Amino acid sequence: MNGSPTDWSTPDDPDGSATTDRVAAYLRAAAGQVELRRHGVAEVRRHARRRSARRRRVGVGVAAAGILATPVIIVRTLGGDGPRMVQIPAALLDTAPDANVTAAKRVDSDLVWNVVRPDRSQSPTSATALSSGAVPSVMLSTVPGQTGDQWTPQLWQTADGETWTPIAVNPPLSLQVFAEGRIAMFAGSIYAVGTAPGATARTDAQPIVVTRSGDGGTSWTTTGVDLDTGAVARLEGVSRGNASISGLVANESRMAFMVTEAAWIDYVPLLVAAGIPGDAGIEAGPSGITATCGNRPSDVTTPEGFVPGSAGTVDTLPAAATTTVVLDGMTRDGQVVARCAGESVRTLTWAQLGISAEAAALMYAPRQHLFVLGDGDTFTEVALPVVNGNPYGTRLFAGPNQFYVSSSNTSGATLFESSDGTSWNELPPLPSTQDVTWVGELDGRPAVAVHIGNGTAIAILDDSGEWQVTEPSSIIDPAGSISTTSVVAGPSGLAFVGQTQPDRVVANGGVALHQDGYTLTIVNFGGDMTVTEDASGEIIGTVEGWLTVEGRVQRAGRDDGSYDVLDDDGQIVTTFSGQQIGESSYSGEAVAVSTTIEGPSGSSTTFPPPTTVGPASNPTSIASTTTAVDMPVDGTAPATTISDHAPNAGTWSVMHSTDGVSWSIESVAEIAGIAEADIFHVDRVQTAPDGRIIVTVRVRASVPGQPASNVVLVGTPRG
Amino acid sequence: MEPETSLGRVSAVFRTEPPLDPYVTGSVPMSADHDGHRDVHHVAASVVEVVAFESFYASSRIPIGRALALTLRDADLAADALDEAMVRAYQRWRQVSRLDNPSGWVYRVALNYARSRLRRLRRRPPGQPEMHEVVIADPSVAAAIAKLSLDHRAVVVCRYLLGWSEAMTAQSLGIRPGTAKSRLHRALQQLESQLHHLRMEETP
Repeated sequence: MNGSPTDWSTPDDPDGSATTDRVAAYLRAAAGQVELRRHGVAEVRRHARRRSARRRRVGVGVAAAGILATPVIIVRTLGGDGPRMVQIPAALLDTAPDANVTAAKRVDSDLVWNVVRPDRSQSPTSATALSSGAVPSVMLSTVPGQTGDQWTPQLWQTADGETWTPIAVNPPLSLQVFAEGRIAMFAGSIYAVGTAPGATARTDAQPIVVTRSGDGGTSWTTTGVDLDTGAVARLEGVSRGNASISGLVANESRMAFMVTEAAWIDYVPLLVAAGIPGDAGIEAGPSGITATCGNRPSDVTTPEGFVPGSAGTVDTLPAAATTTVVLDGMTRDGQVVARCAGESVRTLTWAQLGISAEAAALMYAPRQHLFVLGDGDTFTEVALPVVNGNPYGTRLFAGPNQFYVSSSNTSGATLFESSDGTSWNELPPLPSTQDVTWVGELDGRPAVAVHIGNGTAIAILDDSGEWQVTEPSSIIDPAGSISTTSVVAGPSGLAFVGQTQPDRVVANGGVALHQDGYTLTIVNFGGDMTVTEDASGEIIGTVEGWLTVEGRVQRAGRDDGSYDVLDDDGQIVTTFSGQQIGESSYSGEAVAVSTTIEGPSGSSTTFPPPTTVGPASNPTSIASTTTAVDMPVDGTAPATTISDHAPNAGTWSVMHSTDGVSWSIESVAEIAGIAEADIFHVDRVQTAPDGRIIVTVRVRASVPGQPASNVVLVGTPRG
Repeated sequence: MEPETSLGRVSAVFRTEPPLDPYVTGSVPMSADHDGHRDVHHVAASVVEVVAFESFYASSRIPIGRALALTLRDADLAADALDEAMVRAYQRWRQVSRLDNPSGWVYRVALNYARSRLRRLRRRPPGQPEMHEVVIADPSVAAAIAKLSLDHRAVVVCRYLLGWSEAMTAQSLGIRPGTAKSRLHRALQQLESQLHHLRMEETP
């Protein structure tokens, strides 16, 4: 670790100390290894529109009719206007995938499970990485008995999931490379690909190295690849460059990995130097930056002593003024609200800020490289079949026969296959999704795990070139979902592990909260609610997706999930607390919660406890122990005292199918014979050549500070 | 320098990326109802918002998601929280896009969503690794960062991973600048106390 000053210096750390350098280096390296489950922007927009569309459909007094071929709904507005017909663009309605999605059939499991609980002194503990694909496999973990605080890497090898053999990893360089967790087996050798040690400062190059052992770990050789990983950091205007391994896979004939290079540009000081006010709204895009002043959300913050000039704008304040922000009756000192005046827009190109076009482009679309192992020990860069403008939109997978590259952007996903990693064929268009989470092969046919609707769906390319899509979550319940962590295909079919989460509110037929003559009915976990006036039995307001309100209900100003019920004059008559709604939504039953809202100035308001108390099966003695801060769009947020609630998480499950259509589902906890709450994570599912399904489960330490342990589940198909 | 015009932002954004959404490209009917709710101006505004949001999403999802993952020490939870925050950002994009730091807004909304989830789901025993798939050669640094409180870790991540200034960090987290500075100072003190042995190792 070098101790040289860097521009990470802060007033707390004027010299850019070794500690901050080390922390920054760790964060950058760790960030490069984070693989976020892919949800694309189209999915985000779709969810948002579903909420909006549902709001329109569930509005009070709404009668829906599917008339002719054009989507039309008839809306009777709350304001007393007569019904009017509104033509709804299809994009605003719930969108079904283009492909024909088949509901999965539920079948009994044909797997006989053997639970392997290795002796801690001879088994992996705190496993952190497992090579992907089929066994023989290697697992990376701490040495036996170590906790996460002590870290000495240990490799283990297995051929069947039941017997694990330690492998020596002695050379310091190997330790470093292995530590990055990109390990795989190919042609009898163990490979690890990572960045070389010593690359710690933000502008340092991070050379990519490959270390290999062909003798079971007795000796290791290390080679580099032909890639100048420092080139990005040297581009004009780049604050920091980074290279990370984004995939290491092997089929039966070749091995390949991808490197992603990204650039970070600290452009804020450049904007300030260019005269952009510090409180301007900044929007960065591939061609430059647009700064906008004025038209700020004055509905949230109102500077004391100043009267908004018009709706949606804030009048000019002295540049150096210190004033007081008033938010829902609570004050906070020392805030300068606005220095921008009126509506003005200024656009600066990257070139005007002294940033090269290449650097700016890299900020939005990291550069990706594909390396393929040739006949010898050398990995050679080959062209990717597609250049994707979407950051991290290109991913590499492998089945037994083919490599696959998926390319996702906002319009969908494209899939390519190649047997040697050099010549690629484009496969038929995938179903309407951009969220490809896994690609492999089932009976020699491409199989893809995609994210649609309630979770993972499986698409298999049939002989006619059509994708047949099945949604396994349909066997849980109509509103349930599956969050998948690992998928595999092998001789016994498809398997994946993940957390299943039923909608307890739907399962219980909704949750009703009664208060001050009004009933708030929670329809589902997604935040659809209705408010009924008890005296008249009339629905007077609706909430859709937590956010969109209609009728005599509004989101409480503190934006903590509470909702105000209004009278005919718009005055608040009662407030259902966000905590009670949240807890009740999660548990599927009415939960009584007393909420205290504390203002920054020390004032506090305690919400009245609800008149409805949960059923005897759900005791309401909830201690207030945790403080969290919920957030409005702008300005301050009150501190909300919230409670701990009994753990009520999803269920870790393993799903298995021989054909992709008929699925069994089994509880990991039940197979392992442990409590659901003891499962920390189910990382990986693999297959053995004989069709056995191998699931590695990380189990929480029974005593804090003690090592976690692994349980290995080995499922053997009957017959 | 492009002219300052009320449409400058619109044109700047619109020129940079082709519209990708079916709604934007016009493949979706854009007929107006009797009140003219879907007139050309409305559609144009929607076009701008969608494209601008896509640009924001493309540029911020990975860095913010990774920052959340390191703050929360749970990549899955970070992804969930980020998705939720992005949905909310899209729904109120007109407001969010005018904030000083929309990424900071998304980070904070996601962090609060995650906090809410965490307090419902479980209380994890201390000292247990919670971040799967992330392994770093310097385990002591990882362990020291893991021991920080969530509030302190958030400040450290904003400052040293996202590279935000203290003012921007404070604004994004909804705390006073002095609080941000204090948290950062205390976090660094704590990290320093746990990592001083590494500095000693570097001493020749």
